[in-house]
Amino acid sequence: MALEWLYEQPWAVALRESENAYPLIETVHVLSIAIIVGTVVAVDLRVLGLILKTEPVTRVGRALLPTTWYGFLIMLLTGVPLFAAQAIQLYSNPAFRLKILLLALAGINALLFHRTTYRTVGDWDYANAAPISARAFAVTSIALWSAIIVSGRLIAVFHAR
Amino acid sequence: MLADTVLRWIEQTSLSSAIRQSDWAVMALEAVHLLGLALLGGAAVIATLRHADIRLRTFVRELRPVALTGFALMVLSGTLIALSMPFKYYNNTAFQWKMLLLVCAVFSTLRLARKPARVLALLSLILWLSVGFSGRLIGFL
Repeated sequence: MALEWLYEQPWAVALRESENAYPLIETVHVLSIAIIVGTVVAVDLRVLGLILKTEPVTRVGRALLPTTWYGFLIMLLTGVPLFAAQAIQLYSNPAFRLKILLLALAGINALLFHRTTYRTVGDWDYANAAPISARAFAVTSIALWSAIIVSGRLIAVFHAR
Repeated sequence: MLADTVLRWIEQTSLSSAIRQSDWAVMALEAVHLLGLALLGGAAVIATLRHADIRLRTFVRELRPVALTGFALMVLSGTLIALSMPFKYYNNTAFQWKMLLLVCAVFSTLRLARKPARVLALLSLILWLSVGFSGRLIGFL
């Protein structure tokens, strides 16, 4: 099975048995999530009209979302080895499953926002607060990313020792 | 010993024992700690990097409430976690390092805010990353 193949990769075994590498990579992983969530929430708060009101929504997105993608890249580069090292345990961990599900939902939420409400951004780019549908996407985004952080923390609680 | 007396007193307060005896309180506080980190760390990263179209000064001003909210969440949740098991944290080497590094990082950042300098910015960054790493290590010791 692919899971066992991944689990037995020499680098996955090395990471699993290391003393400092695992917490070090975990620290970088947590910080990468902070970069993603921090930038996403800043854009969401602009859509809600709570911060950066003097700047148009498109400009805030253009300024911050490239940083989000760098954070996303670091999250994957650290998250994949962290998963591989504990692949068997994590696969059956309910908190891990929930986290991946929530990540997918956050992605779908962002995609839907860009494919629907965001198409009319020209009409509300300079407005203090965006239309209700855009604000609903922003609130959902904040809720999903908060839940991703909480479920990430919960992984350790459910972790089979 | 004075430290021993103070720690024992903290441990016996109703706040400390309520958190300690709860099945979920410490876990919830740790989650809040991480949510605070995302707000504070995210705002700090945004306020540090150069961005297209928007001046850094605007970001620093507009994100200050976000960063302060994150910082407040971290201090509050972190204090409550530490108070719930005072002996455990007081004697944890990673926790001792974290507190020492935290004080250094705060001083370094406050100085940086008054007088920006590249070396001090780099030092602050390294100090904050070390705070994060030693924080992660607490649970491994």
